[in-house]
Amino acid sequence: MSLQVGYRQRTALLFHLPAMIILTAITMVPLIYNIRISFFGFTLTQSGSRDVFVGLDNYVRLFTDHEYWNSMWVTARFVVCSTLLQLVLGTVLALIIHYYGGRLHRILTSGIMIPMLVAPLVVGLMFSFTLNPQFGLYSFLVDVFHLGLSKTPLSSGGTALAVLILTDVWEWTPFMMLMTLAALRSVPMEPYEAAILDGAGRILIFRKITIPFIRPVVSVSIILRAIEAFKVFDKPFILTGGGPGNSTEVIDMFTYREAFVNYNFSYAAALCVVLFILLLCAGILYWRLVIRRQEDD
Amino acid sequence: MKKRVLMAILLMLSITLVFGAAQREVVQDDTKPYAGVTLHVIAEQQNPTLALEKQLADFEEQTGIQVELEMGPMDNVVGKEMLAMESKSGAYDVISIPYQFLGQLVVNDYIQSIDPFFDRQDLKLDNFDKKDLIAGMVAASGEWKGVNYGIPSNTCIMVMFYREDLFGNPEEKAAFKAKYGYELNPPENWDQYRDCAEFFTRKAGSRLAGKQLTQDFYGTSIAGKRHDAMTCEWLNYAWSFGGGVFDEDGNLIINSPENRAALDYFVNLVPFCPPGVSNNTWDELTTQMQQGIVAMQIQWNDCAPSVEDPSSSKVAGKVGYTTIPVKVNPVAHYGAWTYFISADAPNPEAAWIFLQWVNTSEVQKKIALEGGFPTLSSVFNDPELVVELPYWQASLDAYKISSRRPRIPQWNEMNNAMMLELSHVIAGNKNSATALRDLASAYNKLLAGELPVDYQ
Amino acid sequence: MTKKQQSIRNTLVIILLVFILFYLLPYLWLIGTSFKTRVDAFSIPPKLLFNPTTANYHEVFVEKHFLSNLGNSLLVTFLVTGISLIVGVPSAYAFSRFKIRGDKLFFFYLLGTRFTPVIVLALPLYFIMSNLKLLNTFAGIVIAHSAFNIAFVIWMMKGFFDTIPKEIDESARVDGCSWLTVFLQIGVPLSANGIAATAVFCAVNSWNEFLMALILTGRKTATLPVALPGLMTPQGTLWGQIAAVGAVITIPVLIFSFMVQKYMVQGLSSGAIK
Repeated sequence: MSLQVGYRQRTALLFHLPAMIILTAITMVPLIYNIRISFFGFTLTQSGSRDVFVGLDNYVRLFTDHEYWNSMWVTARFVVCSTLLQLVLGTVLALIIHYYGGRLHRILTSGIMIPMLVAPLVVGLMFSFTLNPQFGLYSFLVDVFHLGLSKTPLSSGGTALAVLILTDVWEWTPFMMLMTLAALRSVPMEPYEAAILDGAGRILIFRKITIPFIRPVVSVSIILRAIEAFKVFDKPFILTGGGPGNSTEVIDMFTYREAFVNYNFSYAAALCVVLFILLLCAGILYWRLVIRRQEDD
Repeated sequence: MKKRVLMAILLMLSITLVFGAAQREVVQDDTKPYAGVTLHVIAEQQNPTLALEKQLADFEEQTGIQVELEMGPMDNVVGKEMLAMESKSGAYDVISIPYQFLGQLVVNDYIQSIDPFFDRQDLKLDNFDKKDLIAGMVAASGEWKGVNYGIPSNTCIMVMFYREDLFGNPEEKAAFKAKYGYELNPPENWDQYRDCAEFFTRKAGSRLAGKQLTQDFYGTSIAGKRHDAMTCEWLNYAWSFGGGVFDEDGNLIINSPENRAALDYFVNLVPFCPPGVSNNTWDELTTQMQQGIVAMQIQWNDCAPSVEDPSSSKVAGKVGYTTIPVKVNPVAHYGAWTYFISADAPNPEAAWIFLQWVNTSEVQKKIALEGGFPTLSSVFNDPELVVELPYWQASLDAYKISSRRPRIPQWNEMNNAMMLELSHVIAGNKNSATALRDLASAYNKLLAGELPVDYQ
Repeated sequence: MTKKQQSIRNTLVIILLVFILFYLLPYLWLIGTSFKTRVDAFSIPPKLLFNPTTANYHEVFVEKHFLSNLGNSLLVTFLVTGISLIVGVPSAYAFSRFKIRGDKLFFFYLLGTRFTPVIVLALPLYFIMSNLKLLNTFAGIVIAHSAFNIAFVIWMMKGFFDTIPKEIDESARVDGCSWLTVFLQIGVPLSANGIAATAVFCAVNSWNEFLMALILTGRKTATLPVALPGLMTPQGTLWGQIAAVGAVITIPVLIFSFMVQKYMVQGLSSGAIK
């Protein structure tokens, strides 16, 4: 029996080994380097600063940095609104295609998938072009349909963020739609048939059978999407540069500017560590509250 | 399934072979001591660099040195250069980087001085003439505290573009005189600039130069995006109004009455600009001029070739160029990228030969004909260029009054802070007084212990 | 289905089709722009009817050698997907079947690699690759992309493997098969759906990735996302050419995902439900 266990352990190790090697070499070393320099004063404005130990100074500075808190607030709003809208729109689309799509469902699905496959950089450029007040499609449509909307939504803080959220919804709703559709497809038939035999109405069936079954998938999609949304960069960078003012400066852009415009490498590293911890905590919290609880149901 | 995988692998291998790098043969030659060396150069992807790329074959023929020229947009190129130099990877021999990085590069020992190379007779290229280099340009772009580090690669300077056809139109001239009481000419001071901007801003349906407008027309356009373009443009106004960042003694004067006036003036131009100024960088400005919807702009002279290109511009041949309006000082914001030899360059001697070659009159003239600007006074004053290129004379005049931005190590961070505050003002979040006050406090924190900045 | 239900259904489908058309409008506009000359592309008001030209495609793919960038992207994505799967799938299997000390820690560490903004890892990553002499090579970028994809592969595949009953393994082991045989002959085939789904997401991630490709590739190895910003010069953005690249950049991934769509839709759900 102990030979068996030893064999299992060795096999497990063997199966894990290639992944562990690559991950350690490529991801762990940079992460550790990052943690290390966050305690130093490395910035390119001062020679020799890479060796100056400053302890927790960078972290203290972070907590009193207005721009940093502003970015976190902008990003939080972006992530929450964007993910929620994607959830709602994606679910509605999935429901329609699932129940009414019929033979067209493959075309419908492929069509909606396209935005997800376009590179984020191209999405940013595409919307930048479309939203140009002089020769963009949006401005033209506002005129033609007398929509009464502002032709320069990117020029004012509130609407700029709204536009960014909408471009993200445009790009990633397909992801939510696909996941929900897949979940709907995998619901077993037996409970449905039993419920129909019992004479239950459609809405009741939906609430009591469909929703519980698709909830696990949808919960995981939400967290996956939210994590990626936190790292949005290309679209705001191209569309607004973080402006007007700092109303669309998301955290990844703030970090980029600290690292590659101001060249405050240590400060950027501290930023990354704090972000990492915050997201990890949020992720674990979400997992405990939402996913684990579902498994218990 | 297995067959498919095999086919896929074969397909991939053949694609790799087709697209892979070709091997090149090298022939040894005694007259070319550095033949066979491969030089790695990185520069911004724009017309002068592309023009240079076309001539690299000549360089190889002349010296036997092969040049690998990597290009990209500014942010990407600068990022890669900094990474390469910080990690001392020896990835590049020659880097081209905007000149404001000079202080930062020296302070971190990223680049090496080129002074020793000037004396090396064994490396001297025949048709390179040090005295032909424009001293002011070289000093601004490559000299730090008495040591020369580099030679300008792509220079440019800000001038004023204006629609010659509109300013010369008799109907417009009469209307202008009637309204403002003086002759309509390309504006020479900022008050006139404002009057012209107001005068030419018209809705679709009104008349312009004898024709009826099918779309709105505007007097001017400014770069208002939170981007380098905005600070580059605004500094012209600030300097011209007698303000700026530092005074002659190196004290911080960012929060001064002159700067506040310059900023107010800048923002007050917005009503005369096409809507959406916070979308504008140089790119949008150029496109607006090309599409013929603005009358004047403060722009880089290296955007002029695009405006003069009939295949993409509706106003080719109708645009005039002159120096920027004046209030207190005549100014022209100087912009340049500089070629430096990195400290860890594997082939510094070959790099020096390359640097000389780039600054020979043949090469510089060809670059000038494709939209670049030379570093040699002989090419600059070449009568053929003055005649052929409509923006040449204005450029010459502008270079004489050129104003350069600080090149201290903190400048990048200062520029970033300025972008933020200016963007707040354009968005209407802050007025100029508050913005400049906040900017001043940010600068004081950044430069703590360094003030006054005695060298820039 | 009653007539009334039928007509409701038809209306909904038509609304959906119109919605999808409108939804894809920016993208369709992009494709249209790629066939316009520069003057047409910027005309005010925008032109719906115009003389199409293939000049943009010719300029960017032939004259600017974007075709070789396309080839680079294809090669890198293919290799990354292959390596990520080869390295990640066994590890996912091990997570599903075996318990060894520290594997929970490893599993959470994987989570962490997705959280970090890559921008701060740029400097150390560049340094590592430079020391390994892998800068500007295909090997460098392939390894880097694979490393960051592995977390994704392991999460997704662990879920799929969890849906395969362990009794099947046990009976095979009783018959005398080694774990390797069980894995290859039973585990992998039964989770083929999951592998297909994971392959698509790996491919899309690597195909569109920009930052690591920027710092680790050079002139000859640059992928499409790296070459694309070169069309945004300070003298003007070459929108027609960007549109051309934008149109083409979606095609390979679109083909790939259309092919595996059958598996993907079924596969996604099995992976996610733990």
